Amino acid sequence: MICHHYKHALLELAAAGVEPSPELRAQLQACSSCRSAFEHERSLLASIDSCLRSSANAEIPSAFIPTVRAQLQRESPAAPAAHITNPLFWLPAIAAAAIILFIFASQDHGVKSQPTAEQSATQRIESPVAAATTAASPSPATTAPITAAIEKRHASKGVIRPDKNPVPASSSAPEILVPPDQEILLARYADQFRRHHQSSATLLTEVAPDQTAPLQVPLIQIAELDVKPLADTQQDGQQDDLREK
Amino acid sequence: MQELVLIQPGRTAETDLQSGATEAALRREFEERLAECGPLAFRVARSVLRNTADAEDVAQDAILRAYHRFDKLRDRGRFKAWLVRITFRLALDRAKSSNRRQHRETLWSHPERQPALPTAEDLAVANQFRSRLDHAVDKLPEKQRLVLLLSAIEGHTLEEVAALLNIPIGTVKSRLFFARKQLAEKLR
Repeated sequence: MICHHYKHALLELAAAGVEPSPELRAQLQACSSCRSAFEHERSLLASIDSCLRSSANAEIPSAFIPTVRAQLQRESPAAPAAHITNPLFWLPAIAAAAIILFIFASQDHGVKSQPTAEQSATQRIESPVAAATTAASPSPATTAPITAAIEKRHASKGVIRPDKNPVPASSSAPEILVPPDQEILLARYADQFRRHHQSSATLLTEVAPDQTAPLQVPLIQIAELDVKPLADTQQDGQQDDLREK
Repeated sequence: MQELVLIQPGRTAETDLQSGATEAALRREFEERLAECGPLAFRVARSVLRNTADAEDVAQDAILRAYHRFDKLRDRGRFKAWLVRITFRLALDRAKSSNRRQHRETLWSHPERQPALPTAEDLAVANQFRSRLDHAVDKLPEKQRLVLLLSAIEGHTLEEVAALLNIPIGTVKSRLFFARKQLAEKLR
């Protein structure tokens, strides 16, 4: 039986297939059971190797390379896999995408049909130009709900997200992105702009182009001049000269 | 409905000719490499599957895949290693799926029986040692198994295996050592 002390080292030596160290060589010379166990292990590994080699180096079928070459002739080098080019391969993906788009669109439509107070306020904030063109009443207290909504959102989220409450796609008004700290200032500006715009709009409506008439300027009235005769003034002057002399 | 046609404004007959020439050059280069690496791909597949027909299928599939992606291979010198890896991976997949299929068919046809005994033909072809060895090789980790197979195929040296797999020779030695050790333990 193999000596317990050298068993592990001898088996590893056989598996590694290297020359034994002097100590192991001395042990193999001294102990016949160790030597026979070592030889048995080596023969086992040799039979493993030969078995692996015989199965791994099988004869190549004569038709293998010609078949592959023939198939290569039919294929294009950079052609994608056949199933990718097949339209039926993409059909489920396209159908799924269409369903998802439809669901999102219907949800978006439902949300837009019932806008909340906060959403309408936010829409006014997002585009002062658009807000100015709307026919909202020019109440001076308009900024109060806006700032309240903004402050509420600042408290809850901290950041304004314009894409959550988008302006309708049909609107041509531009969206404006502002830093969170300038949001209230922008709301005030939007309100001032709206009031100013509406006052100017009323001025414009009073002077409608079809109501204009030719300008009527009253005739100039010049008061009659009071002309005194010159003779009196000349006599007065001569009398003054005589007095001085 | 108005019909729309997809066109590429920059595409001309000249560019078509150029792409055709490039394609032909690519095919020529690939076929040169195929003569060198095709047998190796077959042998890798055969070592894993132990079936000539399956190995042919898998090797052919691997070569075609390599062909379709050949233009994307930056270092053409690594083609052999690349093909070996593709083949090995496909062969493992095929072996797993065929094992599952065999298991399913066995359960379906003989639900209460143990796995079928080897047929007379099997016994004539393979002895008990070989079947045990095959079973033990199948249980090896994939990395060790690939090194073991490549070192057995076509008499590759350790340096050649290291170059083929692009790993240090020390790694090849250690993987081969652990693989042989595990096989010996199972067959002892």
